[in-house]
Amino acid sequence: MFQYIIRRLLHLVPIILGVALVFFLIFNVIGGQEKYLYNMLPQKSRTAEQIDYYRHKYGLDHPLIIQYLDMVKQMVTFDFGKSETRKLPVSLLIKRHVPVSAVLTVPAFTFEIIISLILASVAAYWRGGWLDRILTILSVIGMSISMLVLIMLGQQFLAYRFGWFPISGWTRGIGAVKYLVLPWILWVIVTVGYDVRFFRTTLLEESHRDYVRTARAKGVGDKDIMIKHILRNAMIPVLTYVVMQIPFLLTGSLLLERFFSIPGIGDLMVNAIASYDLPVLKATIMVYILFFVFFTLITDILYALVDPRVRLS
Amino acid sequence: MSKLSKSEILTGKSPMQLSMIRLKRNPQAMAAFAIIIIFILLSVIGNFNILGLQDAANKFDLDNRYVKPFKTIQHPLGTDNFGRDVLARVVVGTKVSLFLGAVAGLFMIPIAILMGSLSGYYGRLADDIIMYVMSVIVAIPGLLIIMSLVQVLGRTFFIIALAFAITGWVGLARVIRGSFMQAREYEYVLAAKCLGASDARIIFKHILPNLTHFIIVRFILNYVGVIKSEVLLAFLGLSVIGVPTWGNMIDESKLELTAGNWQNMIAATLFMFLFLVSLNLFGDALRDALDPKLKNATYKVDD
Repeated sequence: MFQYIIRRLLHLVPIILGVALVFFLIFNVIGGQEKYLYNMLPQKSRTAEQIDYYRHKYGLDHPLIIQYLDMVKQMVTFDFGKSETRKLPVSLLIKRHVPVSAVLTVPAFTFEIIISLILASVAAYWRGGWLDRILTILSVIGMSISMLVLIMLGQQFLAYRFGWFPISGWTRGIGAVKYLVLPWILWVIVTVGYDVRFFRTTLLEESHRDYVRTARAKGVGDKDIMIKHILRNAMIPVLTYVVMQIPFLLTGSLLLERFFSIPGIGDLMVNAIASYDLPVLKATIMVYILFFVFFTLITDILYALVDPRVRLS
Repeated sequence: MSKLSKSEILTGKSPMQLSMIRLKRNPQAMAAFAIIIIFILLSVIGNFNILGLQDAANKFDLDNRYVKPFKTIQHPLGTDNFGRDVLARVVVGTKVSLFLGAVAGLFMIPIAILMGSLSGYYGRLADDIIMYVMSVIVAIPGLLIIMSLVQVLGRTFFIIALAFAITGWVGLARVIRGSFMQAREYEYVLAAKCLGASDARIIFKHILPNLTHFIIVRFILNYVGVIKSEVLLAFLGLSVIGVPTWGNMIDESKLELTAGNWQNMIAATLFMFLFLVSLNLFGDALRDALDPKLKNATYKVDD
């Protein structure tokens, strides 16, 4: 297992090189240095000397290949220098924003998966019944309304009109939970439609397999078949699906953080893109990629736990 | 007797015709298809300025700001903060969303087919390189690439469509790659090879037609995804500039809700909802109709 983890971590190296190349192409080659500097600087300081100064400061007077290597070096050593708009070291910003996002996304994601698995099992167990119909209709409705609208309505009614939750805000420490409850609820509402649909289909596919018929022939009860046989075997597609959802954590955190003014990393990233704050952008990208690779690693280990055949090969 | 066998030959149907028959028998799918056609007509009306819709969508009328819906006949769905007619705007917005999804899909599919078939059919080096590219793109959240590209290149229609295509092809290419890897070993491919068919002929004439249903269904799924993502882009201020789109309207409404002006949001959400529900239902029905595994079943029992 240890060897396996090491091997997976080595896979990270080419991925980081590739990711650096993608953003290097977007910002330094397609965007062009002139445009990049022009957009980064505030209007008053767009003089020739200023542009020259910043070009030197960001190493944009080097050949492209050196610029690329610089970018890779920054990403690997995690030393991104100072943010141009906030005048703070990037590492400090990251340290401040990442825990906030983690507190928002990790519980929300866990609730999402657990709740939708339960709902999907219920729908698959009583398939064709009224509960199944209602869940299917609700999930189609949830899939067809924009996340933005659901979040806006949720904030408007639950927080503003009814006053059940604070509208927005943030504090340090445990008091922040008060501000996080509504974002968590909205997160689950927004995502659960897709998940229930997918999980239900997976569970139904699994319930047509031969081993289910065998179990039923041996006299195993319906509930035991669902919990011990079908759910366990469906874990592999479910895990694959969960990994595929990880990039969507960005979308969710980004929207919710902007709406509820939670100072997380999605918020930081949007500001960085809007103000061409490249050091911060690179750092946030790096955080996301590390997060992604970490999660894929965990799910690969989970695969091995769920499916004994994976360990053998 | 000869008459009988002759008529049998005449009534023989291709798999595609059979799927279309299955599709036509599904009333839900046909209703969804009708709604999709209506939306396409709406986008055409909006595009060619029939009924003066574009003028109505862009004309400022500052005396009639925030007219509530269903109050006057001139503005059935009310007006927005510049006194522009919401109904006209939402119809014109249909055009952008529909075209965006279609163009993004049309950009995406050739890339996916090319990459998927190259890596699946040839394997080895081509496969390694393309798999590497795919794993890099998968590691970055798609929205991040889209946001950066649109920010750098500008908020025009084609750039946004291209950005969606660049991030969207990976999923389809994976499916195509997997199918090509399987198909490479099948007898019909070996037979074609023995008869001296070129690689291009095998890829495009022999293997690819078997994947049509994957591609069509993925196109529809992608369409839904693009329309929903356009709203997110609008929220970030990165949607198509200067024209009404569903996303821009929903984004505008976020500051109007507290004052009780719902018309922008309700109109855009309603249109989007109708379109996406029809698209989802039609996509599902199409998947069921095209799936070769279900060839003899008239109706599928489960979802």
